[in-house]
Amino acid sequence: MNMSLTSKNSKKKIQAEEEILGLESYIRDFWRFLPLPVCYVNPVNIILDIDEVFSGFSGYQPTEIIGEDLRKLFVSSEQTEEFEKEILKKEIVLNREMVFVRKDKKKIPVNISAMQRKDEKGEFIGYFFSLTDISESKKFQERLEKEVEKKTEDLKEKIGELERMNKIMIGRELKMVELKGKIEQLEKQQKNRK
Amino acid sequence: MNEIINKEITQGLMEIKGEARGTHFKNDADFVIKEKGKEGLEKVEKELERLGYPIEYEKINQFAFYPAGLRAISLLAIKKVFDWPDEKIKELGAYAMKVSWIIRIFMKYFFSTEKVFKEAQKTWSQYFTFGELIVEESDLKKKYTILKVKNFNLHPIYCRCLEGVFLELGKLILKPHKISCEEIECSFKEGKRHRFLIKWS
Repeated sequence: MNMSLTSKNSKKKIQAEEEILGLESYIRDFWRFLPLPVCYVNPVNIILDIDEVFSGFSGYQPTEIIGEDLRKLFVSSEQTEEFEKEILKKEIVLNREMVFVRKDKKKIPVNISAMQRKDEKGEFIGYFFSLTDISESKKFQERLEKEVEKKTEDLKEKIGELERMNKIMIGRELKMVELKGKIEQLEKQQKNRK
Repeated sequence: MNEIINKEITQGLMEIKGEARGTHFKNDADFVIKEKGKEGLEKVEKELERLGYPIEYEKINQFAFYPAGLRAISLLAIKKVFDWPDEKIKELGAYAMKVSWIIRIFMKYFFSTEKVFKEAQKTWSQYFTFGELIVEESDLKKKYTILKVKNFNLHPIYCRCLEGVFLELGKLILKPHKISCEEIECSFKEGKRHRFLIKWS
């Protein structure tokens, strides 16, 4: 009886281990597949896990960055602090613009989105965040802004020119009106002499 | 010259009762590959074969239990093959803490120092079928914690590995400027148990 119970428990244990192994492999594959740089951070903002894409994006190997402070990854400590406060209050933070610093010190503008994790008691236990490289859209935006600026300048110049022309035209008109008045006056004077 | 590992030592270690999770072996292999490449790991596997206890690290199931003595043999073989100092074994322990799945399960407690150490006590039994981890003293104001490991007399090499594990655990939750972990009592050095002092500033 006892032997059979032990054997059943042992089988259950093996089955549970296999299931955990399967789940672990699923999670590992999923993290590998994710095309986004993803990072897991604890409530005191220490990096606890990153995916492979994050490693490639940041230039850090997992062992180099796990255990480090989140602030190491962003240019502005104040902005990072604000983000940390925001994720404490909100379950999800979407597309907050920040500047990421790679291991080689290259700065990359990113959009950061984060999601809280809570335990079974509802206590905040950390958060996931993902990054989107917005360098290209930033460059495009800058190009667009420069173009708009240039066009505005051109337009201002054109308007200035038109205004100058307008002033000249108005000046001429006024002169003509003045001359017309003078002609009328001279004609009247001539009539009176007759 | 005293050999750190030979057939006699391995036999003695294999007689120790108690098991350790396969994840420990996986961490050993990962660390060796990181430091010495796959060829390095092959050298370790050859040494283990020579000792009569071959380990195929790739085939290890990280959730299954294996003889704890075998883990000590794994560490000793690694130390011997690469002639690594104790400090490197400490580094291996710290590495394991950073990369293993332990951290992923454990991470939900990584927001309160008290909670982490308290949970570490419970978590010990999930990774070893013997021994006990106890928080003996913890003073967050004076910035130190003493962890006690009882009934865990495997081999002194494990003490170095645990120094690294506890050091990294402290780093992950305390955000220290400086942190150290030293074994201050060891049952292999006339102590009654193992005691580890974690200090930070």
